[in-house]
Amino acid sequence: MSATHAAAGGHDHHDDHHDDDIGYHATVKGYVVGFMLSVVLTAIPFWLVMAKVLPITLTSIIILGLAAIQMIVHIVYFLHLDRKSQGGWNLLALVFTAIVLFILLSGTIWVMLHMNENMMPVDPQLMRMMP
Amino acid sequence: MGTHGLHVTFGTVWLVTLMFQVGKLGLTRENKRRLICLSLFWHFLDVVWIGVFTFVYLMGSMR
Repeated sequence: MSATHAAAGGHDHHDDHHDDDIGYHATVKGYVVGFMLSVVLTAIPFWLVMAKVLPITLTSIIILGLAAIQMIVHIVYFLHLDRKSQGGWNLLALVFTAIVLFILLSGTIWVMLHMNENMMPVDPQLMRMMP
Repeated sequence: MGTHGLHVTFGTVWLVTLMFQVGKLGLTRENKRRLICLSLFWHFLDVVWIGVFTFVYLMGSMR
């Protein structure tokens, strides 16, 4: 690789392109669309909370949903992680990470909330001898 | 919250450093690669921000 490069004097167009290949084609339009979507997806939940137009439970559900959508918008438009990235493997890794995180978080909450019921009953006599 | 602030602080340091680098050396191949890395770091930061904004500010101000 370096030998070819030296022979071509570093001006080989194809080689240059390969070195500069960042794996995605960034465009101004993409960033503008992502920015517009982010502004709208931030403004709606902000307004819902400030204006108190809906009951709290419904507001919570809506803002959590919009936050999830905005995260996807950021990942696609700013982090350029879509089905084409690395032939889809990046997306697969992201989905796998999300599943592991979900199991870890929900599992922890579940276990912690049921701690008392699942413990072995302790004999009061034994309890008194504990340090 | 404090961790996010630290994250942003380091990102800002990195950003300013790169601004000087690009100003001095121009858009060289090395600087392009550095910019791509910074872009990844910075845009991950604003994914985190969505979570902070939603849970701390919006959910926090409702109760």
